[in-house]
Amino acid sequence: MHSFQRCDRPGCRAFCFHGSPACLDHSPDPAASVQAVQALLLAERGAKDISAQGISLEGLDLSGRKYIGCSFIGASFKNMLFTGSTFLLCFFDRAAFESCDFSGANVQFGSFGGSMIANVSFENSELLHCNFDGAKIRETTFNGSNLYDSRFIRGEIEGSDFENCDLKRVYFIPSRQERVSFKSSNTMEAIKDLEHLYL
Amino acid sequence: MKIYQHYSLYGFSNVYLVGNDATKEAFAVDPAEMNAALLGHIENNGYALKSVFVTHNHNHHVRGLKTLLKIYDAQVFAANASVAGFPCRALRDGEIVTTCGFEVEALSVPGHSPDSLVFRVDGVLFTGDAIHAGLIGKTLSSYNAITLADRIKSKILDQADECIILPGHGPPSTVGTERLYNVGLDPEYAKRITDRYDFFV
Repeated sequence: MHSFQRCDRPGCRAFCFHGSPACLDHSPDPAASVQAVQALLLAERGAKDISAQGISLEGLDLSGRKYIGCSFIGASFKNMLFTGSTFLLCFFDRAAFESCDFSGANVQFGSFGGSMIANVSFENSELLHCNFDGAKIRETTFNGSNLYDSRFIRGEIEGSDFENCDLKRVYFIPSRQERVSFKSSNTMEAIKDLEHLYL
Repeated sequence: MKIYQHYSLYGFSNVYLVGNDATKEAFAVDPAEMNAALLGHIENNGYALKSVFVTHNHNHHVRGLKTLLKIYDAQVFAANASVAGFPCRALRDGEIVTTCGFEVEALSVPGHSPDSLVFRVDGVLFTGDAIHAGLIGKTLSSYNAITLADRIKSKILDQADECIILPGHGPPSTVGTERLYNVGLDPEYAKRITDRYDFFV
């Protein structure tokens, strides 16, 4: 797992950025820290246990890589390629995704809680046991994906498609849902209200 | 710290294996089952399984104990002195146990069951059925739901936002996400719990 060492700045409760004694905000050289993590993420086979909270990345091709136990909490991703990549036990809470491509990705046991997801493709992906609670999802496609045991509780979903998806045991209890298509998906196997939760 | 999550089809439960590569020791949390995949995680990493932590004594979280304890001489930690017929070291609220090079703190969070414990290791919380992504555990009465929500607020949500929640069912989460979006922590939630509802979790 990524490091749980606290930032050395008194009063700061954030965890340290990878390779630094402090979080990104209090890092003595944030640019060098980001560059070092970027190099690790670009490694051909991917990376394990990276603490990249708050990192901002744009225009990188991270397709086909495998990431395990990484934290991208509060990170920002713009025009990124994650096509066919694998993410196991990775955390993207409060992250912002804009114009990213996760098509064909394999994301298992991941958390996207409270994230902002705009114009992103998760088409034909395996999104198993993923947490999208509180996520604001806009103009995004999940078409052809397996979302088994994932959760979309108190999220806001707008102009997005979940067509031809496996929604078995998926919790869809959004606070707002506009222009969302579930065409050819097994919505009867999804859980849509608190009165029908089951194990 | 290495964490392996195993999805058990028995009870749709999460089993966790926490390994220390420096000491080559590991402990398990809520062994819903013990199968070849979990055995592979332990043996392929060369771990010696030293301890088992049980968040609560419900069968779909402990059924694997019988097989596991036939293979490994592990000490079982839980809220009670016995789980599924096996003797345990009973933990008190706030007690810290050192095992496999980790300090594991037990936090009593009753409500889902009277013996519910949450285990904190560094910034990771193994919450069992006390709290799940977006939901709290099933309770049999509104009183228990209120008790559970109160304990969650005082013992889990006081951790840093980045602390990770690894529940007994469903996807992982973080403290920050649960603080904002968990429907079970809504004051109105407990009022909805009546006999006709079949809340699970």
